Amino acid sequence: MHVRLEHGPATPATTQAGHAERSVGTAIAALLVLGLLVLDTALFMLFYALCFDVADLLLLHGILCSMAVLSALTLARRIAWLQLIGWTACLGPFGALIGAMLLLPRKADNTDLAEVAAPHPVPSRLTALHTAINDHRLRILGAHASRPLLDIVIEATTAEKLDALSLIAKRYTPALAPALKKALEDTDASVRVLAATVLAQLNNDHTRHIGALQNVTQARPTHASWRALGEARLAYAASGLLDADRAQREADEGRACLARAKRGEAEMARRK
Amino acid sequence: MPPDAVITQQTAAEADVCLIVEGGYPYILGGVGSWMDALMRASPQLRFYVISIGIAAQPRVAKYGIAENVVGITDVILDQAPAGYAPRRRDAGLIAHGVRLMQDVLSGAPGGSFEALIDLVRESGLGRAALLDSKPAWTAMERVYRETLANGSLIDFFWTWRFLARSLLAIVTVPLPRASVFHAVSTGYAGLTGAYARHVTGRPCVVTEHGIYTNERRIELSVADWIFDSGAGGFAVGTKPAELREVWLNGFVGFSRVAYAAADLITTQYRANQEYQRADGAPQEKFRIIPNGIDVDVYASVVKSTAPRKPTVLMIGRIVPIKDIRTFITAISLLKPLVPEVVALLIGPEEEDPAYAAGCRALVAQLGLQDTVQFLGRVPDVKAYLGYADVIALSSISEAQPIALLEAAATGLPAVTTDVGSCREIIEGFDGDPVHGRGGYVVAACNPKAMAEALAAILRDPEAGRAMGRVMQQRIPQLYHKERIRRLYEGLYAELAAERPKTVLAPQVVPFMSMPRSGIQAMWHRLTHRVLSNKHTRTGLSARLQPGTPGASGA
Repeated sequence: MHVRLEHGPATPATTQAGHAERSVGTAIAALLVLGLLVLDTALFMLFYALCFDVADLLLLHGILCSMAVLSALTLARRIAWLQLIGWTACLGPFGALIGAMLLLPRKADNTDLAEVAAPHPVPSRLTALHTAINDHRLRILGAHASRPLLDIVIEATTAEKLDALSLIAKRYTPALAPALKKALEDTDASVRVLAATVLAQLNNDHTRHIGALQNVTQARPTHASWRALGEARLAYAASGLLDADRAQREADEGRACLARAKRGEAEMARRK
Repeated sequence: MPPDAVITQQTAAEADVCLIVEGGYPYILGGVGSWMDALMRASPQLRFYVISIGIAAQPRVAKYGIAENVVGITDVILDQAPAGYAPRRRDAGLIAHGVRLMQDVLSGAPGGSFEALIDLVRESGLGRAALLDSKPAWTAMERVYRETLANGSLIDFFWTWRFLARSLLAIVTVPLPRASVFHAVSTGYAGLTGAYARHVTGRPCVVTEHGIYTNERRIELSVADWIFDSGAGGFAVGTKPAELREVWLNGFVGFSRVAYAAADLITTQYRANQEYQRADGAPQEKFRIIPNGIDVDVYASVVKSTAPRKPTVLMIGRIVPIKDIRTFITAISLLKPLVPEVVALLIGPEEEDPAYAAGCRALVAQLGLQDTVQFLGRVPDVKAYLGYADVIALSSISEAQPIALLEAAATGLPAVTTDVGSCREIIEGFDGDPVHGRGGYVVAACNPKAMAEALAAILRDPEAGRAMGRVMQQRIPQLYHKERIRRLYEGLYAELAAERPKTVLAPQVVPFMSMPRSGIQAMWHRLTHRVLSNKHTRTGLSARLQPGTPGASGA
């Protein structure tokens, strides 16, 4: 596809002449706009002095604003000028004042570009972390939302209770036993069912482990196997899963196993 | 090459009712399977068809004798969706749209995404090859991953998506039998199939829930060790990041919503279930309660043994974790010091979870109960044992309305059960119950001490036990009589069969004929199918349920 250029590239001389012409035109147009806005302000003052009625005011106001718009269209910063006229059209002299304030040049940016461009030393991860802590900008996401699981089991929604039980199932420690047992009494059947499922699973893990160690001890009783069995029974007793009577019985049996292991070990040491 | 996704075992004649079940009848023994078997045998004048949904690894050997009035069985294998035709370059947009629809269904988004997916698959002939195995499908799956589980493992998400999406495709390509009413025996995949049948055939669909499917899945997923959990949520509840289990759960909730929306009626056995159904989006106006029914006369005639014997506790149920047999065994170990002569009989199949059953036997040995607890396995006639027992126990973690409890109660046995399903209202009655008094004790689940104490209270005071048994014997015929339940279901089927079919879709485009999807062929399909479906609506069910017959009396 071929593209034909209508005009050649601008030379520096033609560019300079064009600039001068445009500057003069812009100045005239700007003066015209300002003049019209001054007229509009005067119009409102006359209206205030009761020289004519509202219909006349609105008609003249509309005509002056339209002329101002037409004049502003030729200006370089036409958006800013149109903003000024818009304010004036809506709010009269007060609008003109607001618009004029908005047109005032802002403070020049004195930032040294070279300074901005210069590479800053990147703080180390440790420094950044330290600064963040000092500035209190560091947050542990969601930590403020963490509540004790027992509170959730007592008073939260069903979905939250099920979430809590799921967490208990995965990270069970004896400290979580009260929350688990409380959930067994929940009014919602689905919470009770999940709590019972978790409790049964945890109990099964213990009893299976103890059963396996019992089998080993029966088949080949050694001090180590008695010790392992005793420790497993004590762990079950301390798990918080059993009621007091059963926990006591389990602990007694565990201690008996450990005593047996100790006796055997002592006897072996004496023989040596 | 994988075997067919659908295996039809019999050539089907037109059925009155098509029962749709997931993971159960006729291949797995259990409460729902027994309920279906009893339902079909109770109405021999009706013809039933069975759609049994399972996975390839599930053995398909019938564990139930198939009733005479079952005209056909179709097995739907969820993990073997049909391949469909090989996609072409120009199908990319269609594939992306199909994946978007599957995403909507699996995220429980409201709207007619499931129906749109059915239409898309039927009209385009796209299947697994296009919607799961193609490059555009992979690209679309990546988008779903970013939207659903951006911080999770892509591999885990991929396999989850693959199973869920493939099973969706397996469901929306099931060849449907001709039936007057479709009856899904749960939500989940069965309910989804019911919704599919409803959309394609225009015939009515009933959903019956024994347990609440989404609750059961939620519980399974909460304790599942095969799902990776990042632990990123710490101990914070409700603010944790999206995990894979949420993807699964949203899928199941989505299935339930589709099923509830499509169903004409939603039935369950007891009122508490309806709260959960409502929470999952089931509309109140579709609700009905139909309890389980048993042959009261047969069980009431069981003769109690008067011969001297040891105090006997009976437990009937599959030896599986949900029945919490280990708690029952532990309870017996705690009961032994209180009632030294006690004997516990465990009746139920062990093959469903052999490892668990072996663990239970090991626990019996571990607790030194070899002379006390007897595993009887599956017995030919459970009534013989009901006459020799003093109390029935049920240690389940979850139940709906256990038939074993109803049967034992009808013989006049007092019961000790966990507080699950409708056990409490069976044992203690409910507001407005014409029979007053308790028929036993309800204890907390997973509490062997409480169970042992309740069993001891009955075994140590035989007169109190007999009084409780009499209460049970009076309560059961009032509400759970098989004849009453048969009439309720037949009335429900007759009521629905009388409905005119809604919109009927054109037959499915088979893969090799997928190319034109154009006007003339589609019109021809619609025309021929409309003729067929008009024939189909003139079903024999109405004739077999004329007013005056017991079943036509209404629910």
